[in-house]
Amino acid sequence: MSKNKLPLDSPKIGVFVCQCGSNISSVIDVEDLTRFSKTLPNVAFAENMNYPCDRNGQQKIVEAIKRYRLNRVIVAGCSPRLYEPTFQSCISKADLNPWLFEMANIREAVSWCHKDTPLEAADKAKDILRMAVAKARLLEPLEPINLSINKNVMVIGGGIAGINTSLDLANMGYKVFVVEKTESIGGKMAQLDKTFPTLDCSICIEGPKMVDVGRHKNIEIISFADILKVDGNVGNFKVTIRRNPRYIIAKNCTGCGECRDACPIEYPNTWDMNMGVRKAISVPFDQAVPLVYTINKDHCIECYKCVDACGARNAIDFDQKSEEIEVKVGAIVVSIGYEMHDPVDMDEYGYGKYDNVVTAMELERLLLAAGPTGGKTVRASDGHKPHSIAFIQCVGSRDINKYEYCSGFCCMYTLKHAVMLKEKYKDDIVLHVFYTDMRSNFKGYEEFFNRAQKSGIKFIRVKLENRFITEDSTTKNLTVHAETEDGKPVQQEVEMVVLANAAVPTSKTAELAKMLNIPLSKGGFFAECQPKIRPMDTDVPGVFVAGACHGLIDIPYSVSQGSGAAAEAAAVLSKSSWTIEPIIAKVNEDLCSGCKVCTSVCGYNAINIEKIDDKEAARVTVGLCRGCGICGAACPTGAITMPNYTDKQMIAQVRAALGEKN
Amino acid sequence: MPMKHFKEESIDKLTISQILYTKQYGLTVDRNLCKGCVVCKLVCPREAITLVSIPKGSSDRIPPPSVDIDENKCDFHAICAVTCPFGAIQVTVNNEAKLPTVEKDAYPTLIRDIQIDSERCQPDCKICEDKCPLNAISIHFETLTNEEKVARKEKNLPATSKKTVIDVNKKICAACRLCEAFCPEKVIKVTKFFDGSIKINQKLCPQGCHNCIDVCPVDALYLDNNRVHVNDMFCIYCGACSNVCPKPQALELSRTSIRHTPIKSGTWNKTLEKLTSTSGLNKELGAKRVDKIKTLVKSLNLPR
Repeated sequence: MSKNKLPLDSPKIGVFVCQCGSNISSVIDVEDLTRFSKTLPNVAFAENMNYPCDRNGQQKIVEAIKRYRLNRVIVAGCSPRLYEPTFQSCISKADLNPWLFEMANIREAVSWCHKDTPLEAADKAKDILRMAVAKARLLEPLEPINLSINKNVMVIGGGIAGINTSLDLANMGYKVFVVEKTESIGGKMAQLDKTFPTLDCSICIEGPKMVDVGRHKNIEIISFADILKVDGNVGNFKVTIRRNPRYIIAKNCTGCGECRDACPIEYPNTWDMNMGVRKAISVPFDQAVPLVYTINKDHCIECYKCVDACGARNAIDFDQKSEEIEVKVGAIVVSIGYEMHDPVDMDEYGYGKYDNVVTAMELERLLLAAGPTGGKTVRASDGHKPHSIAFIQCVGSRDINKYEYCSGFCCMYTLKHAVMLKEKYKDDIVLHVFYTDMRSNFKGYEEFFNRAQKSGIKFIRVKLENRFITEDSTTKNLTVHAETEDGKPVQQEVEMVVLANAAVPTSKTAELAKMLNIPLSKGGFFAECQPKIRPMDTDVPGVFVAGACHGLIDIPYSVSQGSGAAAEAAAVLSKSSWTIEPIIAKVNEDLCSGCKVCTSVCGYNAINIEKIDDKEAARVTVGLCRGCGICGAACPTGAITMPNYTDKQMIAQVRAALGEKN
Repeated sequence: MPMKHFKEESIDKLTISQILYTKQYGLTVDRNLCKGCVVCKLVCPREAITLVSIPKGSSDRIPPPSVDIDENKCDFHAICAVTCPFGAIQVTVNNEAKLPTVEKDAYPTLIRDIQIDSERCQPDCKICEDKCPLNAISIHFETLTNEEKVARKEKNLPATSKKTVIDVNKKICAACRLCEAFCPEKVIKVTKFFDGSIKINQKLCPQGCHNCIDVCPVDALYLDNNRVHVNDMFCIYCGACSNVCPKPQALELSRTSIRHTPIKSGTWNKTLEKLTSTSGLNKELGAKRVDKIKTLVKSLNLPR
């Protein structure tokens, strides 16, 4: 940062009033506002321009600073969230310290919200400008803070998004730690039979990527593990992880499966939606990565038949304990995906009550050759192949009493299921799709819908409300009751019903959001920093989101987000240091009494009491402090200040707001 | 799929089941065969079994407690079924009787050893059938063929026209030796599968109480001079008596060994520990170790 050569003790303020096309000028008389600003103390120059933020505008600001020897700059325009960094770098081109800049928001705070009352709006704009001048007079030059960057990166969640993030980052040369909650990476995609609209075998296209992750020299998979704590900040995160015991020594396990064959105990397999069983020592599916078996001690009877079967490989250790490890990384990508809502609470569909009502994921497992029925689509009630199936869309989704959002991929997977069944069973099966809106945007999807319609699948457009299912207690057949758009009742008897149940945030999403200090959006998914232009950034620098964990998206978009997040993370990791704004809490140790009020109010664990020269005083951890100012407000002795948000500056602004003379 | 666990109860049986899309598990307790002992509860690794005591009611005799099984906990490995002295429990997988742990050689079966030399039975004798407290013996008579008559003669057996055919239901025979004791010809030899000791501490045993006698499934206890006494020969060490004894120390029962098919299983070691005691387990483990060393020494072909 170049030194400021202009005298600072006598403020010379330049005010630049933005018209923002008609955004501001249609409500506020910017000429008048400019004239007004010239009357304010220490304002040496004022002018209005159409777009101060464009190149010409910025050039004019630089010239004005030089010509009028300005040493404070105010732009009256939009929110500092959008353009403050632009103007800071602009004034630094004129050798002015970037923190000698102040923004007066007369767009979001005035012209946009008071467009029907222009007179009052003008007054408010003047108040805001007067406040900005009052503060700008007291602004002081600051120096940015540089943080070191750890070159390792963590990916939380090894689904298809996380797999792509990991591979991309590992191929760039960064060491990647993939933390996976379950026994294997792969996520939901590994559970699917086929993918839409190409009907590719899901595991056949994901499997090779999983294997690549497993054997990449830059990737370490930490599976069957939970995140316990995340400390630190961009460049230097410290993540505490608990590795849960598999009771298997991973490096000795060859994945041969002899132990599974010897095991006498079966329990319901959640991987198969509890439709089939797995052994007390087993892998959830054959393509699991890492291919390490796990003993479920909840069901194991400790007969040690597996120990005998394992023999000299010695991979079984019944005394294995959970293990806490600490991993230090420079950036974190969160890709923990979603879960499916369990529709047992929706009485009208009879799920859990009627044998032949299944969810879409259950049908997926029935269709899959490696599934619990060996790929046979059969009814639970009699084990026979159904001759008619009804698909009910939007079960729980698009329901203001349940989940208001659209789950995004259900229309397409229903088309996939229907096409697969129709092409397999031809005239031996009648398929009815009860939908409300068929959402088939994106490449190749509408064409797939056409293929489905041509194949003889019946599409019945019905209202979202008043849908329910009844069961014939002898045949176990089901009748779908619904209403068409014009209110005509529809009834259809079928042998099986498939529910397109809502996708929801995982049970860990809220917990992890708290640990990472990132907010949740309305549906309970992670909130992006800016959904349109920064879709993978979070509010926490160095923490990124990818895949369905921050909004429901399908496979191709999860893959591209995975790669996108990798690029975002690499932009952090590739830097030699990370620069943060110097607006963080400053402690005057002489005034500090060590009372700990500040530590109790800090939301970021950024301030602690430490012994400094025989005296207990507060100390701020630079990377953690977000400069929110709550400690400064709470400090009873006034020992904590926020640079450029000092008491003096704030009081000057308040006085200005109240119209007092300076 | 939501878990589907069911429980059905009637006077005659308790049935629990777990219905998955592709598999159905069931477990039935035959209430007529169940004697309210404690064995299943002790051996269940899932701790799914509890004993519910039943009040005396108007009858003078106390009924044995009834077994209750938590359908949400049961894993249907049939360990209880295999260990039940009375064969009261049956496990099914897809409606077929199954013993998953036994099939995978992870659990032994009890050796119910009843040897009957029926050739030497008295003609028309049905004493063992009458005396069997568990109705495990059924007898019928068949006319001897000429060859059989000749064969008997060669063996110097007394001449008779009918032979006795004895069918012992080994699933439910608890090997109490009552038949052996009452057999007039001494042709029956029973070896118990549980061995142990039972003692009545007369000082603590409340006078007038006969709960233990009421529930004893094999007539191993009797009242003499208003005092409870044990006939050690018949006791099968099932523990039904100690469940109903109001003064725990008045009746001391312990099992010391169990006769079972050969096994190498951690689960069985736990069963031994629970049913007998740590010393019982150590004894069996010790014997196994000695066997191991013996085979090892043999395989080394050391010079004598």
